[in-house]
Amino acid sequence: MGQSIMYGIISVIICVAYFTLIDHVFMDMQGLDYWYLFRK
Amino acid sequence: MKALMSIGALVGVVGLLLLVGMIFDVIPSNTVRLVEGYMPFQMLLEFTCYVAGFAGLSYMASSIGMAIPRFWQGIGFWAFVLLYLKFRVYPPIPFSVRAMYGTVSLVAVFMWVSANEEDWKEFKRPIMNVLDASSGTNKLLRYAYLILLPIIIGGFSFNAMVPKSEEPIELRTVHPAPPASTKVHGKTFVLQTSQNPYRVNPEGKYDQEFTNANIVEQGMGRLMKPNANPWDEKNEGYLKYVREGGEIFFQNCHFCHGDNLNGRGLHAFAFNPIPANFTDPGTIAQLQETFIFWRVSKGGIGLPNEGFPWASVMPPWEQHLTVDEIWKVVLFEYWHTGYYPRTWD
Amino acid sequence: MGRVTRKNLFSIMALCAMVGLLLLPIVMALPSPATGEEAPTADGAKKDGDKVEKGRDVYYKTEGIVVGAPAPKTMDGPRDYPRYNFESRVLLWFANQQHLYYGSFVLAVPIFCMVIEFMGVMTKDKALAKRYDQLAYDFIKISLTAYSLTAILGGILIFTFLTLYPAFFGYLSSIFRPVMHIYALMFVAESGTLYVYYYGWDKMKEGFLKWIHLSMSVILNVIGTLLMMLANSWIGFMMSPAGVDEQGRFLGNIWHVIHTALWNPLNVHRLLGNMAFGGGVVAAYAAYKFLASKTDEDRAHYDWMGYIAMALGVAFLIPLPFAGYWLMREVYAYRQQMGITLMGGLLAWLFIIQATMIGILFLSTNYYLWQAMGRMRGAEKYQRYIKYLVFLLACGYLVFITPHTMVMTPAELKAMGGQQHPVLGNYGVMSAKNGGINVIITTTVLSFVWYMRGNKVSTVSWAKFGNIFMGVFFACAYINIIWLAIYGYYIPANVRVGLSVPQVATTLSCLFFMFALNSVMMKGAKQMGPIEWGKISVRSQYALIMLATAFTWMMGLMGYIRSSVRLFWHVNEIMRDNSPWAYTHTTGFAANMISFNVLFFWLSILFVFWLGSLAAKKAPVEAKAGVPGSVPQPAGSH
Repeated sequence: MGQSIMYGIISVIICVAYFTLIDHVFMDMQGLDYWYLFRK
Repeated sequence: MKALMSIGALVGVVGLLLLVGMIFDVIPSNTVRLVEGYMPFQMLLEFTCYVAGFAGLSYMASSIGMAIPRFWQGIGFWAFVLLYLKFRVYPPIPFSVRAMYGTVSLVAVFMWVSANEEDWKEFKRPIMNVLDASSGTNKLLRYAYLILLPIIIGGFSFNAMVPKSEEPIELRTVHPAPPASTKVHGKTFVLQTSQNPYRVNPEGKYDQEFTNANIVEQGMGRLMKPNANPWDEKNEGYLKYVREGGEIFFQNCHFCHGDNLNGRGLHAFAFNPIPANFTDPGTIAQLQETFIFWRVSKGGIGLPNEGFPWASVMPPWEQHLTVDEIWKVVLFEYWHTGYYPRTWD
Repeated sequence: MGRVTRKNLFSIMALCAMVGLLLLPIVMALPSPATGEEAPTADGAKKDGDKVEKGRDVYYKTEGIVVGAPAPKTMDGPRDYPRYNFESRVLLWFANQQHLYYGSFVLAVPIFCMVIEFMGVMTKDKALAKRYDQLAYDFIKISLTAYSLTAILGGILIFTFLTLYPAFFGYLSSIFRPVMHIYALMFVAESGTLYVYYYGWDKMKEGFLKWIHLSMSVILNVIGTLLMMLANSWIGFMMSPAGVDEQGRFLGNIWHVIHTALWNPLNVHRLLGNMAFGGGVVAAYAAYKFLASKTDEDRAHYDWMGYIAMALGVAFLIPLPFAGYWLMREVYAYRQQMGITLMGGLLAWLFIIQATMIGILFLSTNYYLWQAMGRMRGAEKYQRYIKYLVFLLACGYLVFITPHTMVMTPAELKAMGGQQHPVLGNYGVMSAKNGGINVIITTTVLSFVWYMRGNKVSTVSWAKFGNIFMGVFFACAYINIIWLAIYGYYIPANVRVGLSVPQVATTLSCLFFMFALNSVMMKGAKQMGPIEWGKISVRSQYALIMLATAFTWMMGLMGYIRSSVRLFWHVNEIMRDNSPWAYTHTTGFAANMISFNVLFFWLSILFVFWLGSLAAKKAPVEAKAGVPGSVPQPAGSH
């Protein structure tokens, strides 16, 4: 059980990082700002 | 797991009670408010909660030995969707859309009950029982269907054929394609490339980023920047033009389009359809500024063929306002609603 | 030994001949633009040097010497628009659509053959390799009859053009003169290659010859694709003309005329569409044979065939919306007017129907996959969760098909208090719709992953982590897609349009990473039981037929949309349509017409299938009886 939670946490970290990266990079590629709403 | 399911069941019961209350008009459907600005997600979220609730309910029912048969689960869920759309969501959804949703959910229910062979057999069993007349009641039911089905179908046909005195449905194109260019007060504006001359930064240059930062926060009515107040007398540039646009708006437009720009002005309900609601994300928010400029200048009478049935009584404002005034009003409309004009780069 | 070498030599020569055929039109074409460009110039310069007229390209904005006549200004009457006592446009529509259906089919099937033949060559399992090879052969057999029908329909189409729209066709052919000849020559090359490919199948079965045979299929497909691209250049020119001046006078640069603003998006979109369509038709064929077969062996074969065809079709269906999105973007970039007419104006209703059809495609695919899990032991563990996938799909679908402007009676309009519904109106905008379709596609990917691991249990040491990671990855993908859809409401439109790219990237990440991870995990996995081909529910086969019908209908619809967006122009902004039929049809009429076309296509292709089965049956009868030309089996027997 403890191992599963550990794996789960690692996966969440990887996935969240990955998708945030995707969002940022692909917006950046188009010359747009993904963080538009938060920068203000 | 059990605790989770009990919570689910509780949610399901409460939700169902609320819905039943709304159906019988005991509880008005806006008791649980649909919050402006979050409504679409709220609806989907509510829907998800219901589904989770039903999962919990069905789990609890089967754990106390009173499992609901698959057949009734399916039928019940479909009935729930129809009732939810009819009685929960306000203002009422037009029938055409409810019919679409109903069909899709019927298909979804079918996909669910027939996803694997056992479920499908279980689902079919009550139908098969009636068709085979496996017991006395079923035999009776079969006779009842034999008589009722033709009557119901006949009723539908009768209803379809009987002449009605309803107004015909209008497929109105609200935003018809604009012309490539438009001529206002002798000057030609190319819609794809023209810019609002008042959308400028303090240096007097066209600057969308700057002006976007100084508008009202969308749906909230607060100023995006607390010190960006157009009524400040010392303003120069963008905010000054917004104020001037506002003055023009309240002298000319607000009688119909409303003081909140939501299309519910003093005279609004004399018209059918009522004037455009600028706070709706489907109007000015998705159009280019030049589109609004063209529509305002040319009015309902200047709609192209495509705008059939030209259901707009807006006067061609070029006969009353100057080009500059029209641009300023457009500027104000975007400022007040908190939307940005659409751009193509 | 010597025979084999001679065979090799012959086959290499055949291959070279094909390459030669392929290059022939290009060689022939080389001088033709040159003559088009220079000959009049030279003549003109000699006679009166200063009278060379120059024109400006409407799209490329380059200067060029006028070499063509201006687009004719037509008038309603028997000279420009001769007619029967019937709407000419509808006749043309019918001829065009049928030609396109068959054309797409015969272009798509060789691509499948190539893929399947390649799979057969690469497979180490001898029995499986043979099955693949047989399947590819079956495919090409179906397409052979369809091929001649395509040519016939093409002829009918040209005659329809010549007799009913002579002025327009005359103008178009004056501009595309060299292209049309290249097209015809390519057609000859295509036919030759196809026949050698088909009849050489048995002779070139093994070893080196098989590779030659495979390369022939590559050449066949290259020719086919070029054919399609040339045909696309005509419709591209009609929608977004280039290479002519404002009066429609040809400026001498044929490449500009071919390479218009919408040519490449159209090419990509059509290629993918053809593939998906071809997969659908073959899958429907297999489903039909499955339902009609009487032995378990037949059922197993056709179940397998249906599955392969469906999988190939869907593989091309998944990128199709993205290609469509690109096309739409280019349309907007070309003329904003055209884009609004399509998406927000006159034709917006058709796009709601299109969204419905796309949804049906994905729904049937998912349904088929869930049913297909029934033929493997061990897939029961996933079946409990299907209802949640149904829920996700249905929600995505509902959002995706919500119209922006709703059909309603005036009474309902009053009750609602405006054209837009405050709740549902928000689903009608791009941001929500992109979210919807991406949820649907991701769910389809998830169904595929479940299907692929249905009867297997991973044995790799990190299986537990792998499973958890996959679960989390999908969950995060869903969250990201929905989050981006919501986020889109709170940022300006010019930033919002960019959000679709990360959304698509999320979906594609699921597709690629999860498929890759899954296949790594399933390498050497423990099998719970074999896949029992043929033990699939009858419902699944109806889902396949549904899939194919939806494809056909949608193709008809999209073709109609693409064509009618020109409104009253033959060639957009160059040549006006002055026939009495320059108006846009009502949605109801168009839908009926599309349905008629679909029905006609399916009836005629059933006939083609029947012809195919006739040939298949004749062989064993002959072998048994030994009587040449014995009576064919009656029609009802298959």
